[in-house]
Amino acid sequence: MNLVYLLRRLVTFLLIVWVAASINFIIPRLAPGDPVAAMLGRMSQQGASVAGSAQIIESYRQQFGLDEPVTIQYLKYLAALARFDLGLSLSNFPTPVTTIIMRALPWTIGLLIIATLLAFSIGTLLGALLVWRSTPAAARTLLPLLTVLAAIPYYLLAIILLYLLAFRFNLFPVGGTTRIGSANELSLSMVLDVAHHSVLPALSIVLSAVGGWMLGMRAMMVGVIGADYLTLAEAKGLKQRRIFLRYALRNAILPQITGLAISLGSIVSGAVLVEVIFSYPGVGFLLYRAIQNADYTLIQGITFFLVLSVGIAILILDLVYPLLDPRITYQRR
Amino acid sequence: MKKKISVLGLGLLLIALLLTSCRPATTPQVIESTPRTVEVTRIVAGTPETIIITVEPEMPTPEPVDPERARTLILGFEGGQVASPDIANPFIPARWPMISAGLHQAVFESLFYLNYETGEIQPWQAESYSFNDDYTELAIKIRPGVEWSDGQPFTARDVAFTINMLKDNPTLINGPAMEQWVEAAEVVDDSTVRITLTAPHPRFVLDFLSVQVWGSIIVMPEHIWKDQDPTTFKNLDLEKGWPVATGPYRLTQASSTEFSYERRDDWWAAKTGFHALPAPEKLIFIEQGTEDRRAAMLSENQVDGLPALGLGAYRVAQARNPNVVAWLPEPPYAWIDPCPFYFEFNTTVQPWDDPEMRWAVSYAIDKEKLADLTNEGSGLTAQFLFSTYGALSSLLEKNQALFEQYPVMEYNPEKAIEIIESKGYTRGAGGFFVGPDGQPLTLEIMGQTPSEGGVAWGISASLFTEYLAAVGIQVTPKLLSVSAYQDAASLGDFEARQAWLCGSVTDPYTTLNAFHANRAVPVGERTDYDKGAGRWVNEEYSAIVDQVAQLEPGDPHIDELFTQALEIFLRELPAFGLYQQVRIVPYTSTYWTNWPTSQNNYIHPPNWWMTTHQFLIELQPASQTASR
Amino acid sequence: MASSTVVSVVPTQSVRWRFRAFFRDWKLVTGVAILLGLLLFGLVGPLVVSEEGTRLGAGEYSAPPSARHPLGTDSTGRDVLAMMVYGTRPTLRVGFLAGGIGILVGVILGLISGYYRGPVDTIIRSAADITLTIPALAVLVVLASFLRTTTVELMAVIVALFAWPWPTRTIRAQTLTLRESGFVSMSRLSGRNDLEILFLEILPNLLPFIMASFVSAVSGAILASVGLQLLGLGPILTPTLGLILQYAFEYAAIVRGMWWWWGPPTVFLMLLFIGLFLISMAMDEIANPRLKGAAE
Repeated sequence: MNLVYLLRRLVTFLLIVWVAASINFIIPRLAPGDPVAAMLGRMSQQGASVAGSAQIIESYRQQFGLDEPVTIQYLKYLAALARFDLGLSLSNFPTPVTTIIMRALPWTIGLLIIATLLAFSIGTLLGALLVWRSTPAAARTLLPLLTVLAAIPYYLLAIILLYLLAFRFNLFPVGGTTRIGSANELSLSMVLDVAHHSVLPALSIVLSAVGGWMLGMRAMMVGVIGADYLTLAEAKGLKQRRIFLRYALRNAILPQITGLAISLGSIVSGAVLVEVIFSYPGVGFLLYRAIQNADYTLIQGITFFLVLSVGIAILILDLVYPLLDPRITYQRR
Repeated sequence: MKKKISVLGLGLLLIALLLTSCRPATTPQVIESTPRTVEVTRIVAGTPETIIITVEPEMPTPEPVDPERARTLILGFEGGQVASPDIANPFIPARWPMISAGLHQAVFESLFYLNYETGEIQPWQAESYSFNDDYTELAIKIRPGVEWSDGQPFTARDVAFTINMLKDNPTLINGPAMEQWVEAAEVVDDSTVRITLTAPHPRFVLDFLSVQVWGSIIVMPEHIWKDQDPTTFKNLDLEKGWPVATGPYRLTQASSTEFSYERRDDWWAAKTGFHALPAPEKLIFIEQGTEDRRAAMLSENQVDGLPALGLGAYRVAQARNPNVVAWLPEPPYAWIDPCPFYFEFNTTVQPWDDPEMRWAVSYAIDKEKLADLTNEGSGLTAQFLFSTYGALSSLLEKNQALFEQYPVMEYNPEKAIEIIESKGYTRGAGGFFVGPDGQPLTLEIMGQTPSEGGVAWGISASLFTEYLAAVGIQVTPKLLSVSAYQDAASLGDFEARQAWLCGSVTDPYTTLNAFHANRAVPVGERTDYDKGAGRWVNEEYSAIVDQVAQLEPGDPHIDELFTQALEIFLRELPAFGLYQQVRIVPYTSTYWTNWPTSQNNYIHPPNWWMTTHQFLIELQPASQTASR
Repeated sequence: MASSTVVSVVPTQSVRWRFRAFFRDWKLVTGVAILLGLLLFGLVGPLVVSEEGTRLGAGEYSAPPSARHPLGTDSTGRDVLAMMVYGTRPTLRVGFLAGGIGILVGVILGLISGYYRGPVDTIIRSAADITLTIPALAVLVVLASFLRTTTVELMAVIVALFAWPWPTRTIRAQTLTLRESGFVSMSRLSGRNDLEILFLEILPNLLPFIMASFVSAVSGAILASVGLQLLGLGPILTPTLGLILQYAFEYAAIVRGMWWWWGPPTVFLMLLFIGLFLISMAMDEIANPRLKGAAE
């Protein structure tokens, strides 16, 4: 590996993170509204009369440094980010942003990422099988049916599943993460409980995402099918399954993985509706609520976290890719 | 050709399958195999109307034998998931929504509780209160025997401490209010607090200490809080038993979507014999989720009560679960929330500084239709800007003559057009009016975005646009997020808006005072949220309100003064009522009974307010045989 | 989820005869037929169904299908059939507008980025990556709250903001490869300048990919706009399919068994996506004939 290349990629990575972080700083502040006003507004909506709210808002603005010039706030923001100090949440003052994110993160990782990985794996495998000669024709006809499911917006799928499987047929709970009233200790029954509660949300994500991955993989596979090395492998007398897995699949999968890394960022946005429908306390709903509350620090914290994760994922991929595929060189042509 | 079956064919088959699965299907233990239709009569605008609803086949009721469930009360809470479930400090904005997820219903108690049904302020932690002659001094006597959950006695010191703490910290909720009204809070003896006010305020107890709407000032234990910074103190540490409070329950578990509480058998009220222990041994508050989820949970008796449910969803739950009850036994089932919706003008913006133009807008809007549309056909209009509870209702009735003279509820587009034309407007392009100066007649109406406030805001926006276009006014709806909306209202950055007012419930002062001239700060300076945003100034009106301020609630002179104020208000019409917020607050009597309903109206029914405490302690377990 | 199909290219042949295969391909025909059918529904429908039905309170509340209201009414008294009919065009308009903008931007940027390489390439590629990384939700919610009311066109522009990165990546990848191919080298040798090569040689060969990307972009745009509307962030004064679903969601139509309310828009959207998907598959095969024999 070329040191120059490595450095260049690192610099690009840092650049991307910086630009994205800056955009994340600017955008919430462009929208009219004030985080404290939002909080008090919500309370007043509930009927709590908040006397002297003007004064409260002014005091909080000072406390949060919102009355400083924007450039100063920006510089302070960047400095804090460099220290990985995401600050205190405005709408949940005085709780630190990191604490809030960490609370929601396990659910997001547990549900979304696992569901997406499942969809990715299943979709990719099915997509490859779709193209492979020795897959039975019947399978090749039925598999595209899954893309029909992809045609239903996933949030609708979620509600339909909720209605059918939870409401109508009582097979799964209507939402939440655990049975109401269950204790929080880590035990086998708790794990099973959580798993039981995550089936429907996971299913709605998997069913709607599988079609997309399948199509992508199918396209990749086709590019690989006619390749010479496959013909050679066959001529050598290797078993079909072996050729499929170690030669065809492995070579076709690489661009898919890049797509996966990139789509990780949009998973959280997309998950909002699923989390709302199933009352799942993940990062998506957190972000949505933070946006409504104009909670600048929380929004910045979550988006920075996402940008960082995706950036790192892409960086790792970019560095590892060439190791997997020797056809790609590091030099610029 | 390899395959005859096409993707499309199979796709269509799947669609067909999905569609058929949506029809009411037969379930295993079914009573009827086809959905039945039921005729339901409801009262709409005074006349009975019959509609037909389809009832799904009934689901079997759960076996009522789970002892764990039978001793637990489960309620839903609103506000969404709690991002930070470790804050039990009722004075900072971050308290919400966690505080209404059981804390201020079951853990914290109030000095007094206002009961909407009886109209009386019932003392609880306090025993009584009394004012001096000119309402500048308030003495509160604490009930003997009240204790904190750590065994320490609840005394006047705690009350004085709390009020002084609020006074000294303007960032705390109610801080500025205490600073404005309280001169000093002193301990006279262990059971008496004397609060000296900066100006006469006969409604001090009503406004701040008795849960007028939603909540009140909660007294905190001095011995825990005196060394803490109240602006950052979280007040939650289960190991230490924090929050320390006087209520009958203690918090045992908190997460983003669920809060559990256990009954304290050493509750002071049970100890002193003042009140028996509440029946539920365990409480759970869960995040109520979307409408679908709520209806499902209620039907299955997975919750015993919810903060709200839509009319259609309520009917579904009722059809599946005959134990479901709400405030009214018949449609519209709903209870009236004390915060009605109204239409307000920014009276500093032309041409809406002219009362006659404001009347034109009022004539142009069909308020009954608006009320109906926002509530599936069974809404209630709001004649004035408060809800029609007992005392206030009779107050409005006494003034019907005024409402006839100033027909604010009338829908009369021709009259509206007449008024506008009399001002010199002529029809221009598109049928919209143009002023003598060539400026088109436009109105920007502010509301909340449906993504946060719900589709009702979208419905209003559409209707305003339609109705006002019919009388030649071009409307631009301006839908903002909650925070932007509140900001714009407070700063006066709007032309007209739909808003809600949580004001009077038993005595008209609070609502009247919302339009006092002293609230009319210049545009660009902040007002106090839902009060004064329209910046209307009328000295005569304000003088009358000042007089009312001096009188104790219930004083017969208030009625006269109200009529005078109402007359001015209606004449000038800085704002007019739209519709009441009706909400169905559903409960199920499968596990618990003695819920507050219109037929059992010992208190008002909200379960997200502090007053929930008052019926929580009265609930009875349903007997096993009566579970169906 | 991958919202576009990335296909490896088989250049060299002129594209013209491949388009003749158009009408022999059942997938394309069916897909186009579905699309045309839905479009017809939206064009002819308003001539048959009165617009009165889209007004609030036009009929009874929450009524099941009847002679007067073939698809019943929703909980605000609106006639569902009328909403469907008048909502089709705005929905399609958002999709095609956003998809169109996305593709236009994507093609231009992708061509430039892939052909010229160098710093321009890095900038464009990074911009695309950044756009993909930023949670769309954050920006969309903020933008929507910033603009007092959204119109259909505005929503299309907002959605297009996030629709351009994928096409850019795809076109860029294809341009990169094509750039090295034989006929491009030939063109360069025969003295054609860059722009001519880009638009006369490379672009025509990319047409199938562009069309495939366009179809994907349109699907994605419709999905995104309906999602936005479900969250309440879209236009509220114009009837669209997303609006129907937003209200159905809010009024718990599914739990209430009001299939006539949530069913039609769902079926419509499904048909739309299936149609677009079939066309997209057909486009893939035109671009890469090897796919043809491989699978359905």
